[in-house]
Amino acid sequence: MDAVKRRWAPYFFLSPYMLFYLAFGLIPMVFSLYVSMTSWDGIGDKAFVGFANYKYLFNPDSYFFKSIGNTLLFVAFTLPLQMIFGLIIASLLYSRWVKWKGFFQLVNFLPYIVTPVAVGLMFNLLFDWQAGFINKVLLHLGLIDEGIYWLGDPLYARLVIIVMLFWKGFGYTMIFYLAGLANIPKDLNEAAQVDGASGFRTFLSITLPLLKPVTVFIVITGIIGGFQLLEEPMLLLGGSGMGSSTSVIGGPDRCCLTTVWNMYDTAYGSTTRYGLGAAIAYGLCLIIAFFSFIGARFYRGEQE
Amino acid sequence: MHTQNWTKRISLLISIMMLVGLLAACGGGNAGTGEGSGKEEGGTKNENTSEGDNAGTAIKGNEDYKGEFVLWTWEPEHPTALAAFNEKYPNIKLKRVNVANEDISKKLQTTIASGGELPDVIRIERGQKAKIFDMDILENLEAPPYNADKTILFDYDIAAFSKDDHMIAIPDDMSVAGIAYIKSLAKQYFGTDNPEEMEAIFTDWDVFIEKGKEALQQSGGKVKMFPSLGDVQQILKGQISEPYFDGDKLNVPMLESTITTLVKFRDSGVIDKLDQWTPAWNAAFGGEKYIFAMSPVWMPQYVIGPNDKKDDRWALMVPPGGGFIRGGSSHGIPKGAKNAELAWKWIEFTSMSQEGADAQKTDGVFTHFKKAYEDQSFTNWTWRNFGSQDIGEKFFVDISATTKDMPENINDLVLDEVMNIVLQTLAKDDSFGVEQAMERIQKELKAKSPNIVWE
Repeated sequence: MDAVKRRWAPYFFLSPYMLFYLAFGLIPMVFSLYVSMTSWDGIGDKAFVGFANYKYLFNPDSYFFKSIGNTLLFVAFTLPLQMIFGLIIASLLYSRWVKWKGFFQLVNFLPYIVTPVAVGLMFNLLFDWQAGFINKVLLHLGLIDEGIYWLGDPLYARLVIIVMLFWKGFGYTMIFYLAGLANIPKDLNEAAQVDGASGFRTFLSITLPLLKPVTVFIVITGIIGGFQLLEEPMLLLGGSGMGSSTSVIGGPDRCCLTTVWNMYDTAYGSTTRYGLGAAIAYGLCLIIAFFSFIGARFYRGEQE
Repeated sequence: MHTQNWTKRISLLISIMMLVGLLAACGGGNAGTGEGSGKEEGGTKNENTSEGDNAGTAIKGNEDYKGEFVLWTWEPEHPTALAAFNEKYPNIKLKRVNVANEDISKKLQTTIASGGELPDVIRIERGQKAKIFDMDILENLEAPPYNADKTILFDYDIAAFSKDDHMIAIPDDMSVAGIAYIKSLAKQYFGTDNPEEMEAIFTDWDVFIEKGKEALQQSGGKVKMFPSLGDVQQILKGQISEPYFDGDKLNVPMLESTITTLVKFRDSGVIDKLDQWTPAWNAAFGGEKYIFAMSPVWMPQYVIGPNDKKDDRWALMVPPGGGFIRGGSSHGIPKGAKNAELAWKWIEFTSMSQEGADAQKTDGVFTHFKKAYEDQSFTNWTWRNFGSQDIGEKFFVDISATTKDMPENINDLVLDEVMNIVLQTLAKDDSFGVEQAMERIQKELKAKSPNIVWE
């Protein structure tokens, strides 16, 4: 009796989680994999199309690779900026020259906790072509003769998104760097100072190398988070006419169409191609898995 | 030892509770669905039985209609209409469920995909109409038990709210549109501010452009005709003589004609580059920089009024090429709705009867019940921005008589989105011409909806 009990007891105790995972994790994942191989609008019958949806992702007319490129571009520009600025702010806050550290930590971290919807709308109003604050200031200072069409020009629209993501995200990197700095033993810095190293040399040779695990972590999570980018650009460029340019999905020339936005629009937005949407989601999943794998290898290398 | 036993028991109890909860939730869902479906079938059958024979319908008194129906809507309650409806049908209750207009189609999709219970009636905003119609989930309202009499609506409503040659939604609020103009500017540049004389001057869009050029020149480039190319595009789109799409086949010559006119407008310089619905576009209504504004029925109340504090500055006229439709909502009954009959009584009362038209007018809504507009006292409507002009008569008699409306399908939504890109590029790039615009549209349509046939 005891032996039987011993055999089923672990399964019994695990069963709530396993059932929960099956119902809300595994089955939806397998189902969406199946959906990605069908042509389905969510209402009619599903027509099995094999890998046609995946093949379409490689079609030159598809926005899949364009959206991957856009997303990578945003990550490539915003992540280094966030890291550099976050590290500078963290170092200043950690130094003995800055007072009211708690206050400045809070001020710099606040943008990160603003909801993405509010961030999108806020920047939308700031950079509005005709009524935006930025153009008003530039016109007032005489730097421009006519308002810049920030959200209607591909280059400027991308620039606004990079500024927006940088503003929102540097507080997050700052917090991690602050935690990393606190973990660096003080005696290493003191020893370097005794040996005559300048503050800058100490920072380059001691602080930065010791912050490498934090940096690797920020890079990995930053890339993964970057690939999930949706709300901010969507609200910025298609915010129901709230001060935006005409509501163009993905912004002018689809220059700001991110992968998740593409998936959302394909499945639930201007078209209802659930099958193609699921294929985009799986494509995105593979890309995120690839970067996570590389990141994990780096991280393991660091640990070893 | 005692404590260990208790820990084990508590762990076991928690595990059992979680398991039971989880299974109950899953099981409950299935049971609910099953029950729902059963009721649904029963409800439909009952309705069919009671409504199947016309004698039954004839005998049924208003008090015999009992129960509650569910409406998905974003519209605030229309208290007068609801009170009048409840007076006529004291035993029918309306349950409003707030759903944002842009979310209705998504919510319908997810409800259907998950096997959930659909409402008895949905409000359909014009921008979502093609998508919801394309889902093929709405009841044929011309068939029993509804037997909608479409002749009591305006002629242009019939095709616009039909699918497969039968009506599947009934329009609720009027959305015919004309163009409004600032009287002082019209007098200054065209020599008159009388609507009928203005209509006689602006016989077509070519004349409109030429007159606009003259006004632009006289004002030293300060005064333009419209604030946005988007305004022009919406008017032109509303005036097309046949639908852009026949199934998946796009009428390319007609689209090219629209693009050519838009480019002509852009090149003439009489249209400014504001984007619609932006703060600057809204503020333009209070200024004196643009002579004209597109003006659907809801425009005086919701756009011109709030943005222009001065009275008696505007007048309303029939646009060159006639009236058009902009916005507006309708109601449809999803297939298998449990209380479809009750929902239909509500639609019939509010949108297809004189009592409903009178009550809705009190709530600020003009319905599509055609007969009501034969009475001049009903159409009479003045608005402070338009002084003493009877804009009701202008909208519902003059403009309505020249209005057309076209059925749309899901491809029109894709085209609308692509047109936004074209408009944006036209506004910012003067070298972007008809050929480039057409190439761009073709490329975008191919990417968004490969089934569209470009001919």
